[in-house]
Order: sequence, then C-alpha cells, then structure tokens
Amino acid sequence: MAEAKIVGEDMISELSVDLLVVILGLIPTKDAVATMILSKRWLSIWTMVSRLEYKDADADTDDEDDDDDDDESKKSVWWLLDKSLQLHEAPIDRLSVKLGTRCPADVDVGKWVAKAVACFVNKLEFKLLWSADPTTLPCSLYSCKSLVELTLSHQITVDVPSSASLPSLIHLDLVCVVYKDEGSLLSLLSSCPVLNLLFVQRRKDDNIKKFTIKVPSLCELWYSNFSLGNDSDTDRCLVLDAPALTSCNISDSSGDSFYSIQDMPSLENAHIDVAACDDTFLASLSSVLSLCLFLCDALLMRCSTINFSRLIKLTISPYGSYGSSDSLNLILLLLGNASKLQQLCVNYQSEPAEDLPGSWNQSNYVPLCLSSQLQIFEWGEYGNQPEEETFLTYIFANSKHLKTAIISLRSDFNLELQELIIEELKYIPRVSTTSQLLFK
Amino acid sequence: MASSSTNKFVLKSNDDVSFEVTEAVAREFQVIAHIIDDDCAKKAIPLSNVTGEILSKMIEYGKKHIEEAPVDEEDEEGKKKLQIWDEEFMKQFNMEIVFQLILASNYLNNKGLLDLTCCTVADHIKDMTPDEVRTLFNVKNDYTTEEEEEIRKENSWAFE
Repeated sequence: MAEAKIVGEDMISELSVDLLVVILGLIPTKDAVATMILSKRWLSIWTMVSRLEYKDADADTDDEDDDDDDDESKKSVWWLLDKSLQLHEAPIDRLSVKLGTRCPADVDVGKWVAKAVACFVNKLEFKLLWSADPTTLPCSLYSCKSLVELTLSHQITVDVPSSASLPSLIHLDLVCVVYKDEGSLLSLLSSCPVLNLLFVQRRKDDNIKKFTIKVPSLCELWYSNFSLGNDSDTDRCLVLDAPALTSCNISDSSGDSFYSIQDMPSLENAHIDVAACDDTFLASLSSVLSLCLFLCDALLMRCSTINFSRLIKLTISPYGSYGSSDSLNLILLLLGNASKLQQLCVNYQSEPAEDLPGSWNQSNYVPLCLSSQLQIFEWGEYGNQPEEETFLTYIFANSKHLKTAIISLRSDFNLELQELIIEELKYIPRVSTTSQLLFK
Repeated sequence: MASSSTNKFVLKSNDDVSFEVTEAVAREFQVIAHIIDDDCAKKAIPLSNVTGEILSKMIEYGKKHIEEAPVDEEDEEGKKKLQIWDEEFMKQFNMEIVFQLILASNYLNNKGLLDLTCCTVADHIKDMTPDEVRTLFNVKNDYTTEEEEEIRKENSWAFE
C-alpha cells in the first residue's frame, strides 16, 4: 500500500467521474455510499457505481477475513441495500447480495433482483440465509438478456416459467437451492443456449428426484450431493446429456444413480466419486484424457470393461473394501484397457488383513501400457502390506519406460519404521534402470 | 521487418525527457499502440500529459509486465510473482504520485496500471469514516453544517 501522506491539493476530487466510479466500485458498497457526505462533488457519484456488493457478516462463512462474525448487535445489510438501490441510477455490471440470519423475514428481497435485471446486470450473485422459508424470485430474472453469470444460493426456490430465456448466460451456480418442480429445472437449463459452466450443490428435499442436465453447450460441470439418500426412493438419479463436456467433477454420496444419454468425445478431465451409477454413465467417460476415480470394487469392475483409448493419467482411490486384493486386480484390468496411459496414481489404503487371505498374486499378465507407456507411478499411503509390496514389485518389474516412482508412506508410521521401509523398497529391482525412486 | 523486441521507439514527456523503449513496451500503452499502428510514429512520440518522472515509472511497470508476463492463464506462480512485484512497486509512491499515475495510465490507456493504482486508492478509502477520508485526501468539505446535518438525517441508513 502506498504511503498515506497528506497532500496539499484535493487531487481525488479532481479525478473524472468515470475514474471515481471505478475506485468506488472497488470498495464495499457501504463505504462507497458513505462518500456522499465528503463534499458536494461526491453527493451522487456513488449512485453510478456499477459493481455493488452487499454482504452480511454471517452470510459468508467461507471468508477468512470476517472477524466480526459474532457481533450480535450488528444489523443486517438489508436496510442499506433497500435504501441505496432505490437511489441507484446507473447500469449495474455486478450485484452481489449475501443476506444472513439477521435479515428481516418479512421483506421483499426479490424486488432488488428485478431492479438489477432492469439495470442490465451482467453478474448476479444472490445468497439468502434468512430464517424464513425459501422464496421465489421475480420471473424477469429468468428472461434477463444481459445476464452472463448467475449464482443462486440457499433459501431460494427456483421457479422458472417455460418461456424463460437467458441468451447470454455462460456461468450458472445453483448452491443448496430448492426447485419448484423438475419442470423448473428443465426450463432453466433449456433457456441457456450458451451455458458453459454449471455448478450444482444439491440439498436434501429439493423437490427433485430426476436431476436432468441437458445442455448441449456445456463444457464444465461441477456436481455434488452429500445429502443422505432416502432408501425408499430407488428411482432418484442424475441424467447427463452434455456431449460437449470437457471437464466433469461429480461427488455424490447419496446413492442416487447416474445415467448418460450421450458420449462425451471431448472430455479431458473427469473426477468421479459416486456410490452408484449406470453403465451408460461409465461408458460415456471413455474418451477422457485424465481420470480420477473414487469407486468401490463393484463399480471399478464395471469400469474395467471400458476401453479408455485416450487416457493418459489415471488416479484411483478404491474404497468400500479396504485392503482387498481385488482392487489391485481390478486396477490391472483397467490398465489393460488404457493402452496410452503414462501416469498412474494409486491411493490404496490397506487395513492389516487378519482374516482375509490378503496376498495379491503376481500376475503373468502385463498390460500394454506398462511395457510401452507408463512413465510416472505414484502410490499414496503405502502401508507395507504383503500385497502392496508384491504389486509394487510387479509394477517395477514390468514398467520398461518408467521415469519416476513416488511413494508416500502412511503418515501414522514413525520415522524409524519409515526408514526401514524405504531401505526395503530401494532394493526392489526396477526394469527401467534409469528411473528415479522418490519418497514423500 | 524488425520484430517488436528489437524495434525501438522514443517516448517524450511534456518536460522534454526522452525514453527509448522497445516496441513491445511501447505497445503496453494502448494509445501509443494506435499511434504505431497508424504509422504516425516517425521520430519521438510526444506525450503532452505526462511528466518525465511519471513516464519513467510507467515504463518500468510496462517493462516488468512484458518481461515477467505469465506463460498462460494457468500460470498461477507467474501471476503471483507479478502481483507481489506490483504491491512492492506501489509502496514507493506517495498519494500525489499515485493520482498522477492514475491520470497518466488512464490517458495512455494501460488497464493493468489503472486497476492497480485505483486499487491503491480504494484500499485507503475502505473501512474509513468520511472524516478520515477527508483528512487523508484533503477533500474540502463545502457543505454548510446545516446541509451536512440534513444529508445525514435524510440518509441515516447510510451511516449506521
């Protein structure tokens, strides 16, 4: 920050209105509004600021710099929002509203969304954490021609008419909102012809059983659902129809199933952490370049029949059956269908197997990618179990083009034990004699 | 044809200080880029609104942003490095110079430097009372006591 030195002339007031508006757009709106009292020149400059941000301290728990979270006497920013937007005159580039639990529950929050739409808003973020039930927003929001980015978060009911049209919307975030019905979700997504990025975080009881994402233009999808599934609802699912997708990040522990309607030939990155899914979904991932799987053995088994013809980097974290030598067999089967694989990371968390015959029997089968492609091998949380050592020996013995192997030992091993294991691992013969062995 | 790293231009301040810069650095300033494109850059390019002191700082900024430009959009380390340099760069100036840099970067149209200098001023206004802002920037209060009372009363929501 520049030295705060008092200067003789009032240089700031001599800046053009355009420049002052830029400067006021960089500070919290409450501070910008307060500049009206500085002098006559400043009386209405704040009404022309195009970037507005209203944030209750308790509505943004993600922010680390909120040091006044527990100030109970603090009023909600609602009154400032309500009064200042009445006086606001200029087009609004960006409006961010985050109302916390102290926002009065009987006010019309939607009217300011309508005002922003009337002021040609480009980026709108609306997070509502009030104590009242979820509220609907004015219909005009869903026909806003200027809107490029939209975030709706928490106590909002997405209620979209079939006539909706968001011709400029590129980026849509739906965070823990509820939907009036499945038709509203369909209307919303089908009203966005150029939507590029969709971020969805589900919440429990959001009125959606079948979450359909049908967006031909979609390139990037983030989808998470950590609500506990309802066992009586066996038909809950996500249906993905997004053939242009290049990046897909799905985490779902609810037990909902996943379906894909179309292949995704441009897929570059996929991160899949799901409890259940359909074969059509796994098959639609087959063109991916970099794949990260957190799957149980049953799903890994189904993956192992898919030909990942372009796959270069694979990360696997098997779960559901720790220490199962099945997982290691399944990894080999997967490698057999990934002939271009150059980088393999395994996060294999073994449990000392007492009643399991835990040894993995070294296979005579060698997948093509091991003998001809694999350059980097990483093992996370190496637990020094017999099947792990056998698997490592096998990888080292067959990876002819290996350049680097990185082993990170289980963090609960003490230093002495770690050194002992490292010494042992160094003596495992590596067919690629120029390869490096690193430990983390 | 000479490349933009070898092709040189002379920028001349309003107090007759000349700076020889590469075409790439000159093009960091949109207005100068247009002059070059229009082929009007015969000898020295006179900049009637900028002093030598300010111009030398702007050229320093422009050079750094050419030399240390991040490799691509994903070069987070490169961006961070440049951001740290920006912060250090601004620390050397008093407010008077900061305002002259705002005016000059607005005039020569360098968005990066304009954003950086405006941010510096914004950081000072943020979290300050109007009285503190007046003192810091020497803003002359031309409201009468009655007028100021009136505004505070009418807009009491703004000062809570």
